[in-house]
Amino acid sequence: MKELKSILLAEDNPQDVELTLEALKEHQLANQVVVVNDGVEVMEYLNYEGQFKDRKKGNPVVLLLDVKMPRMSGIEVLEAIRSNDTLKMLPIVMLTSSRQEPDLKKCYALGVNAYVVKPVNFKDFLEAVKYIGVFWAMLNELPPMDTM
Amino acid sequence: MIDALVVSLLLLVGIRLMAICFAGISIVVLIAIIFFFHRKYNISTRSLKKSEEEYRGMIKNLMEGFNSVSIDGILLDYNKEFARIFNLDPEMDHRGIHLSQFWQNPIDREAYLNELFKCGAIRHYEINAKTTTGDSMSVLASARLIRDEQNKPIRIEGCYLDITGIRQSTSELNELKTKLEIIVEKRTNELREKVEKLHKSEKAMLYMVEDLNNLTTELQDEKRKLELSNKELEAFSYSVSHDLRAPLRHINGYVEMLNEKYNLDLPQQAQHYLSVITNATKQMGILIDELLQFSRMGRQELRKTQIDMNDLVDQVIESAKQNIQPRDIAWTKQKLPRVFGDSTLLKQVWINLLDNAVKYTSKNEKTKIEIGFTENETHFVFFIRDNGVGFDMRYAHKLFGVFQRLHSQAEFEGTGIGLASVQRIIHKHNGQVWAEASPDKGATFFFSIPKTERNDHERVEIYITGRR
Repeated sequence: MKELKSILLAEDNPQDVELTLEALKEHQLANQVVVVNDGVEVMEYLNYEGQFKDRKKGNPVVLLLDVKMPRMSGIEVLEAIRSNDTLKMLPIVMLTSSRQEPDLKKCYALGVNAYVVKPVNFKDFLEAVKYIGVFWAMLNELPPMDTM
Repeated sequence: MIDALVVSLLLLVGIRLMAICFAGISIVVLIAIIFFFHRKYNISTRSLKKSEEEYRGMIKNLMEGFNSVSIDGILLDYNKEFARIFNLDPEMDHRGIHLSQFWQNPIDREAYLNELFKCGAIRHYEINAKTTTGDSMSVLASARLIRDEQNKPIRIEGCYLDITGIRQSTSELNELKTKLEIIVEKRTNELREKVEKLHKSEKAMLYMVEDLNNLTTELQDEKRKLELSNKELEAFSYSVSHDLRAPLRHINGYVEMLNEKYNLDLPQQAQHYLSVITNATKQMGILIDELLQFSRMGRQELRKTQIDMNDLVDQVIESAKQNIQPRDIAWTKQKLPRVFGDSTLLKQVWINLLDNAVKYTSKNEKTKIEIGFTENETHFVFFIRDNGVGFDMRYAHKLFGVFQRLHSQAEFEGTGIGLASVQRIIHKHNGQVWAEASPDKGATFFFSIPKTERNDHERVEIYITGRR
């Protein structure tokens, strides 16, 4: 059996967190999810800093990143990760409320792996989250560890 | 007579002397001498007479008028020219007439005489004279006072030149000169006025340039403000799209979860409420999306190219056919011309108009949708005609307003943004959009697109560049 890998969800809105977890729960993926509330916490998690100083070693299979967050936005996080030699290969999926053309362009220019607009309709939302979870946590092959 | 007397007397004395003193030789000599002198005297008298005649002739025929006048003004002598000047009858002798009759103003003669007596002679003295017939004339006189051996003035000799013609020419010349001066002055004034006007317009130009500069600065300010407000608008629409959608998604999500997990526990009424909430969120989601699209379209720069309207409409019809429920729709399409415009936006126009035509004919048994165009000198006018429910032309002015609808949501679903978008796009292409309809007899929507490739803004640019 494949080793259980974690999904890092960066989302500041508790309702969105709840709904996302609800969606992942349906596919037995919820217990692998680590939730952080803004960009700063994402960086702390990945760099084993602050509250995550003593966390178990290893990177998540995917980072689900909200664009609009306090302190450090999703795009700033993306930029920081892509310019960090040890983190730059981490798969990142932007999970955002709206399809803003400038954001879309910027994210792809910075090397995002996917950009998903959260559908307003909950059924569609469930579908979207299910696909993302299943794909990144189960189907996708990660880059070799030594380059991460 | 005297000569004879002298000769005989001399003869008598000679004889006496001959008899008394000398011989006849002496007498002969004496006679010879006398004869000689007598002869000489005769010759000199004759030549004097001749010279006087010549002199008189000369004066008579002189080109200047000549006269000789006594001190009290009686004409003593004159020549032909004098008679001619003063219009005296050449056949008559006019000696003895008084000269004062030839003066226009006899007092002037006194001044003239005073001058003459003072200096003895006078040169080129202009006299306002008149002829015997009373015609005014100008005469230039030169005169000399003749005195006797006792130095007493006895008469005046004068020469006269008729200068009436010259005077007239002079006065005409003066008149001309005056006229010329007036003209010159007038022209000078006009010129001065023009120069002043020029100065004024120069000033006005300067002011205008200044104003223009101010205007440019203001325009730049406005542009900056506009850019700023555009950025603000961008931020606003970002905020709307992001922050307004999130709670909507939450409402929808929680209602769905409630439905999923507790559906059986809920009474019928509650389930109904939940379905209303779900529909409302869906509707609001569509509204937000369309509003965003509308707002983005307004700020979007046109990317104009040559567009084959025929292909464009064919594509739109094809995708419409695929998206709608199978219906009996008879499509008629004329071959459409090429236009210059933004293909994405014009496609949106056709999508919106076609969707409307399909939507508002959905209650028909048989639907007819016709697409075509007409043209005038400057524009292509495209139209789409349907046989749907139409509308009352009294409300036509509301058609293209944002969120304005002529049908209820229950009759036909819609957000009221489709036609507003159409109008916005067509206006950006410098065209017009309008509609004709009547209730239950279908509607026709028209829009015009300029044939020319340039728009007004570009034309102004070229004009300014050309002036530099």
